[in-house]
Amino acid sequence: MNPPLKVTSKPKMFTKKSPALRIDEADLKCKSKSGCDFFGNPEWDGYCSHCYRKERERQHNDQKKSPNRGESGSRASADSPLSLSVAKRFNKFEEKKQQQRQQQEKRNKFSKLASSLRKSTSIRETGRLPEPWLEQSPEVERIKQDYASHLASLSPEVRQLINKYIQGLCRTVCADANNMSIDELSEKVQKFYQILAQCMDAHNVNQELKESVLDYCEKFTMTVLHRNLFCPPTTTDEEKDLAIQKRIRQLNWVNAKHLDCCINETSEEVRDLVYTSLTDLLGMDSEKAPQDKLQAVVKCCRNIFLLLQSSVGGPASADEFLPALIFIVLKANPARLKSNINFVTRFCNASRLMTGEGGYYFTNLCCAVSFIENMTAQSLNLPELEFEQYMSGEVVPTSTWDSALMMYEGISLMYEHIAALDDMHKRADSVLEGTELLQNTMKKFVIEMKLNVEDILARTQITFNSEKVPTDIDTENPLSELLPPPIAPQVVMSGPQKMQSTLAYGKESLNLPGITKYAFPSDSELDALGTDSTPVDGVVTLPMSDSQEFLLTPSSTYGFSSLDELATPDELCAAQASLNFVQGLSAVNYEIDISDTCSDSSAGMSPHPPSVPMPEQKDSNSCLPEETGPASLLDTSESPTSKLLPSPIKPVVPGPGGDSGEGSSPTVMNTTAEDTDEVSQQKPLEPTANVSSITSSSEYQGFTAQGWKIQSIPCDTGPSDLKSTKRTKGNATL
Amino acid sequence: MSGADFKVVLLGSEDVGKTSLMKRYIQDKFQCRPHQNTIGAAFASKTVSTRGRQFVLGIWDTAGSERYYAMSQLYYRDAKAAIVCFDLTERVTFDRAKQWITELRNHEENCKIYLCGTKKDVVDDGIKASAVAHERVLQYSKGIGAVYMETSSKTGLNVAELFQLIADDCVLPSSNERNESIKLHSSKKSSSCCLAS
Repeated sequence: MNPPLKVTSKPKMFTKKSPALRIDEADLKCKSKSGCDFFGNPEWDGYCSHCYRKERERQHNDQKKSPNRGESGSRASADSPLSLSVAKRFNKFEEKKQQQRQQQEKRNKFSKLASSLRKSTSIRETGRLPEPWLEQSPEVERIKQDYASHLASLSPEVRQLINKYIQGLCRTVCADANNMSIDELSEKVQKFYQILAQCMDAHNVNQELKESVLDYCEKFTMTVLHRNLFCPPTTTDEEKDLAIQKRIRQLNWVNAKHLDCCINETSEEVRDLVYTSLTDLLGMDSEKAPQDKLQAVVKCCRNIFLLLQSSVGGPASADEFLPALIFIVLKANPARLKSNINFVTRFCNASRLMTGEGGYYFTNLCCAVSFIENMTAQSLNLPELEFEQYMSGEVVPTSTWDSALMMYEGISLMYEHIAALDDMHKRADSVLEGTELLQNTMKKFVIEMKLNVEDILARTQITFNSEKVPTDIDTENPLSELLPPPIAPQVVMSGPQKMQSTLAYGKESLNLPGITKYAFPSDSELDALGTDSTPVDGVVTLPMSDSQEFLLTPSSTYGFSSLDELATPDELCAAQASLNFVQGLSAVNYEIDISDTCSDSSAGMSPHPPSVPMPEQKDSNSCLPEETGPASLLDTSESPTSKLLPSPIKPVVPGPGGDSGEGSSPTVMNTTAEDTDEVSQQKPLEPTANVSSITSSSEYQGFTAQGWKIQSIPCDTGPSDLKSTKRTKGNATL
Repeated sequence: MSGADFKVVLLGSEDVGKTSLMKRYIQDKFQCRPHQNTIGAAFASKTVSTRGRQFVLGIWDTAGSERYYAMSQLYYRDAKAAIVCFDLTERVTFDRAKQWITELRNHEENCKIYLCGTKKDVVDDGIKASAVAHERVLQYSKGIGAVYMETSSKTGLNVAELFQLIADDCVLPSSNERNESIKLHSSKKSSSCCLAS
């Protein structure tokens, strides 16, 4: 006797009895020969539950084969070509489920095998009851630990009682799992729950503790007995699982629109929620205790409400919720859906869990499943033909959820990449900007540093030299002593008169193309040479020959500060202005005063001193001359206005003219090429000249006399000057 | 996740205002415990006090669409009370309500039926005339042993009263059940011994 045959053949007999369209009541009655008055049920082969059990027991005694029925048949149906073709289009969720299902099938087979083995052994070694609840899995251990504190707060008496109940239930269920119908088992378990509750009521356990203890008992027993009670071989649960799975796979094409379900598929948030509710629903199968399964359903449904909320824009009602749940069930196609639903309905503590929120959602899930089972073209508002085409897989709707999902995934990935690219662009830009900024600052810094260094070099150079110079001065002093002392008195007189002539001359010289501004003083010198007395000339030439070293000597002695200050253009201008003013206003007399004052302040007064031997004029000139001396020369080199300047110089310059008037002029011409050099040369030169002249004039004439001899030196030291001028030039640009 | 003491089902066609009725009742500040949140809008539990005792009403909203009509039986299974709603301004909804009631009577004998005509405010304001004569409905409800109420979720008219009435009516049978359960308890003791042995 093959069990599968039994299943299929008996309903046939049952239907054969009623070929007519109208079904007699007798046909619906239990077909037991004993004339039972209850109604039969096709699930129980047309028997009522009572007779079915009896019949089964009888058969059991007849043949002690394991009731492994319907396996091969269902497997064949699952592997139909249609389901295979559908399987190709599975998305990842369905793949996951597939794996789950396969594993589950293996496990099922295994457990069946194990149970049949166990039974055979238990039959052989009667008296020794198998006690699977004693072989405790880690899950059971975990449950025990979770509720340890709650159990500890129970009185030992109650705890003992509860343990006794639990053991009793486990034992009976294990023993009778294959002999009892599932409904009887369910009834037993429900009774067990009731007894527990009453037991706790009787011992005045408070409500909260009672709830948690009930929770524990349910979890513990159901986890231990899961293998015996979940999808037991005595039921057709497994076939139903496969049937609904196949059905859902066939309905793969159904999308939200067909169900009038307002899921906003384009929103990422909603899509995420769809995914989470899908996984929640799939998680139902992995839980063992019925309340955990129920909790998974509740979680799933709450997520559905959330996604409806963001899709609809307000709290959703049942009219929106049910289609959404149907949609989720269709897309999730949970493994062993029917078994799970049946398990929860049978073994969940109905009085506690089925009335609340969990019950509501579970009922909705049942509705969804029943809707899916009975789905017709009408219920989707589709034409019959179209529905048939979709169901047979002939036509695939273009906008299936799968393709949409795939597209969305691709698009969302693209958006992510684009966003990442944008971010990188921005970063690169900012980096570029930063580098530019850094480069600029570096450039600036370099320039600044250069300037600073040059500035400092220019200054320090002077100081350095100054330190070296003093000794030179001493050495040279004897030479300068040779310079003619009489210069001053002679120039004073002629100075003003010749100034104008020299001025005119100077202008012409300035205009000359080849000759630079600086040639001009030299010209004046020339003029002076021609006209003025020789001694003056000697004074002027002296500084030229000295080079920097000589120049510095006076500054060191009389104060560097003045010299440095002179370097700044502003001061120079001021100095020039003052000079002009002085020149315009005053006669040479004023200039003469400088000689005296310069000894006090600085070398600035240089230009005039040659003409200044007079002691009386101190007061008036004291302030002016300081800067004018060098300034005037500088100005002449730099600006056209300097034309006016030569006038003071003249008095100075003319002196040397007498000596090497024509000899010196050529040198000047030569140097004009390097006019700037000369400028620098002369600027510093003058003060020194002054000093020398001053000293000579004021203190002793021997000095000036020496200077006169030095005249020859400048020509030799020409090249060395170049360097110094360059530096000063740098300074000027600063 | 705790159970509710009484299960109350809302039945009726689409757009008659089942959800609004529930929302009105739940979100009304009156008698609402602060931590009692509404979970979605399809299921709500609310604590009601009646005759000096507290009870939890679990209110189930259902999908009224015709296509889910076949599943309604799952919803009202074990319900203590059913509020069958119809739109006062729509004749069709009253006819549907009659269908629900006959079905309820057939499947759930213990379920109390409350016939509820909604959108009373629309009729009162004269926007639409009542499509069903008040007397006829009253007569019908008496005939089936149901309570008839006209409510308005907009103004809150009769909403709280309806649910309070349900709570009051539900208490009595529950006390009977309690007696039964005590009896069961005594009988269970013997059976538990069998289990243990």
